[in-house]
Amino acid sequence: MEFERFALDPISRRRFFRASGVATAGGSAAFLAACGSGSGDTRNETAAAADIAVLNSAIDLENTAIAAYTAGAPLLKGEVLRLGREFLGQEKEHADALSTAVTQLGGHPSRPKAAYDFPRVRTQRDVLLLANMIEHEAIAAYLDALPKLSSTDLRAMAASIVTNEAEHVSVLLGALGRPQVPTAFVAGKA
Amino acid sequence: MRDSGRLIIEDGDADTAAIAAYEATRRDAVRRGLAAGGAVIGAALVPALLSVRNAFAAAPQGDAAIVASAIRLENTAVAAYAAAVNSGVLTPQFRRTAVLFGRQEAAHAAALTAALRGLGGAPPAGTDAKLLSPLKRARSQRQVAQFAIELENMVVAAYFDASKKLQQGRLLQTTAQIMSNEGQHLAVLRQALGTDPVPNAFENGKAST
Repeated sequence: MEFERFALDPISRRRFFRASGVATAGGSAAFLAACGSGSGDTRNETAAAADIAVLNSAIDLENTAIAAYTAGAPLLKGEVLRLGREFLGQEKEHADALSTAVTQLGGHPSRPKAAYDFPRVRTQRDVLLLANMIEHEAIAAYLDALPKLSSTDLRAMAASIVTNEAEHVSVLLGALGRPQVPTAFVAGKA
Repeated sequence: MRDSGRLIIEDGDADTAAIAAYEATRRDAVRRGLAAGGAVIGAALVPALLSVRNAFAAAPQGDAAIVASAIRLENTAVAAYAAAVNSGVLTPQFRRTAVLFGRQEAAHAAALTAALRGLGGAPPAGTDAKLLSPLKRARSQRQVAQFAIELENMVVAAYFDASKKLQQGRLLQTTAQIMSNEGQHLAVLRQALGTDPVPNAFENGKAST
């Protein structure tokens, strides 16, 4: 119940994600700064810098999800544990792909934090709620990031990741006994 | 170009060789019975796949053309779920799910229609009747679910390809929200069939189910 109160409080959530190094909803200040006019190489460089900033924000969220699924695994049982492990592996695949993209753009991929200050989770239900909260944040961030990415390949990758995160949400909601597909447009807002 | 049995829809002109290869693979799968009960229904989706292919790969480039194609696809999905609801083979719980999914496809179509009008385009009418004919032959809930998975995979694949082409940021976000909803449909349908609900870290509608 304690965790449920936390998950429902937008201020607590925002504080948590900020402490986790996550600039919510895309973290696109660098993009806005990079939108000025210029020509040729300058535009390419600023576009790459903007892409790197957006992708590193996504990596921060993926690392937060990885830490949450890892920390929560001991509280999961049976089929939920199997799915939790599978989702953990998929978040790692996302982080790897995003890190590769950042490296290819000439940047340095964001690294996981040494520690994540998660709210206390005591039950499987708490873990599911925490995962659901992080997945929602990730969905909102990817949707915000999509039009800011300069290349079609990066946009397609982000679209395929956000759809995977939405699938995670459906399964998590099902495990929580809630409607699995509550809205026709998945916006990632809690 | 194709990967494991599913056509990859890419930029440029329609590649009839790739389509033929896809059809051959499908027919081969049916012959060998690899896809069990859903094979016949899966094979019958090839005409719809062709229309998707034509819509997103060979259609004139531009946001309005892509949105118009998506509307037709959503209308087809609405009709498919309506046919599923009336198939007489669904349990009450699965029937409620089909009703919900159909309603959500209709919401997508309505939003896309509004977007298309905003672009100055006229929304297309009608559905792909050939797509729906296999549902008349469905004899079990399992077959209906397999049909729905094939359909949802195609829709997700179409939106995935659209994400590479759309120019307007707002449209890109709307279609990603819709693509995510279709992915959620897939997860629920896979669970209904007792298979892994989220088998791929990157959901592009092109991996095998």
